Amino acid sequence: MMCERCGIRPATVHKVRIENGVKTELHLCEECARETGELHFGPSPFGATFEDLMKSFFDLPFMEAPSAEAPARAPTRCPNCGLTWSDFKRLGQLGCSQCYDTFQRELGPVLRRLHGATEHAGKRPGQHGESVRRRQLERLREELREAIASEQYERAATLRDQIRQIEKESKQP
Amino acid sequence: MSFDEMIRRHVRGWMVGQGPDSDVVLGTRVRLARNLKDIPFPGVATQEQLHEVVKRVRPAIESLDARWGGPLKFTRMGDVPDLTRQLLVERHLISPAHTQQVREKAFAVRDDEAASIMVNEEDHLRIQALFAGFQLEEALNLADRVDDGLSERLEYAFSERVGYLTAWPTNVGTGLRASVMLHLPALAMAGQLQHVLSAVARFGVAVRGLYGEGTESVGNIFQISNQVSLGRSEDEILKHLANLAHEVVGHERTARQRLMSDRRALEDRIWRSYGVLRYSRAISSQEAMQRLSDVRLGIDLGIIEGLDQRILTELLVVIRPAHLQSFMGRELTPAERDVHRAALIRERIRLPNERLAQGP
Repeated sequence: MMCERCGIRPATVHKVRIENGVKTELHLCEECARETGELHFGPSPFGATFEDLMKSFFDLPFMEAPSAEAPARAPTRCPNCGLTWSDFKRLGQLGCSQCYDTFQRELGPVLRRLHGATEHAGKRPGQHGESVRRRQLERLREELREAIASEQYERAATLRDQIRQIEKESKQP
Repeated sequence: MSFDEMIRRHVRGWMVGQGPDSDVVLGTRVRLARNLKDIPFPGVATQEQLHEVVKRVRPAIESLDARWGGPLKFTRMGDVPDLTRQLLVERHLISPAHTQQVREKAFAVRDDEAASIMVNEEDHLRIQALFAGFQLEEALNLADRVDDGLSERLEYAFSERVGYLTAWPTNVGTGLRASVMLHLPALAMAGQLQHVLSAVARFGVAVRGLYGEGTESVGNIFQISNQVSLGRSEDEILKHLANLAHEVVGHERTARQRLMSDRRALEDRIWRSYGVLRYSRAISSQEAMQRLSDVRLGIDLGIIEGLDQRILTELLVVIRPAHLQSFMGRELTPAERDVHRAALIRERIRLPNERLAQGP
């Protein structure tokens, strides 16, 4: 397939957009995609934030269209910090931790859009060294599989003991 | 003091190290965004509230010992001179935003610069770990330890549902942003850069040039970092990023091998760049970066022998304006910077057997 814009180069960037129930497809080469802003690489160095990404989400129709069954919005202003939902749409940033509760309903689609998920699956405060141990265990188990596969049974036994030791330690309070 | 001594004094941390896959991967960075419970995020908080953050956070940071990734030296940004703030930005230790409106902003860093913390940037705490080469796991382990130490001493804003709460919803969940800095000259020469980078970008990583707009990044240096921070564990996020980074590294290595089949053209280009760096009397940072990229490729491919592989990593930081001005101890006009940049590079780029034109 050739690029729809220049018709010279092969199309390598494909975009499907659904707006008001109408599906449009866009097939561009990298160069045209870049020129039209369809392929965006942010300018920011190490320490990058995702402002551009956020801003582009706010232009999407799903942010505005209230779904038919949704009741009237709960508070429009965070009781803790005073931020409104339209402030958030302007700034892209939330005001305080309570905003996550206040705007829970509105944030759902935003989080899903950004992360493809709405529930945390990682570390928790106070889980000291937990993720370190998990990674260590994962690596040891991998080595154990390799040791067994290559019939290095002595090494496998040592690895098994190490794994048991770490598992025991992580069960202790 | 010679430039050489000055560089040695200034270059530390990830710039002097040489990590795994250092033929392509210059450095690794991991950042954790954390906030205190009950205090609004910095974008909304009052001066009093930000002051309260510093009051609570400072003793917590100062009490971190080696077990918790410390010790870290705590400094208020207001006490840091302008030029030093710029130095910190150039060394990737703080963001440009952290040099502005510095009242109640602070910064803490470990002596080797591997661990650092920004206080009251976009979040109350941004814990950062910087390593040379490809060391995602090591960087996360260090940031994790600092985080563990702080979570013993401070109460974080955390929700069972969405994890660590952050000012930007893009960071919520793990608060983790991991980046790998890649040097991709062969892909650039082969014209395959766009193709490879946009391919990995489709798998949920962000691709950025190191400095400046657009993907034709100066010096062929790019960063790839995770975009998702919610719904996956830290391990899963790192593994995903590592897989994609390895993918890019593999493509770059293949492209390098292919370049070697037309060795004469490649050698000519690399030695010409060496010549420019070795003998020019004024050089823009743009040209310097491109030439350094060529020379570094020459070193990686064994075309140039006797020069340190870390030359690009080191110079890419120290030829920037604040470092140059810090070496000279005064403000420099752009034209003066070009002259001093050339002098500094001449000092660093010299083959051991070279006796010619030592120049000023």
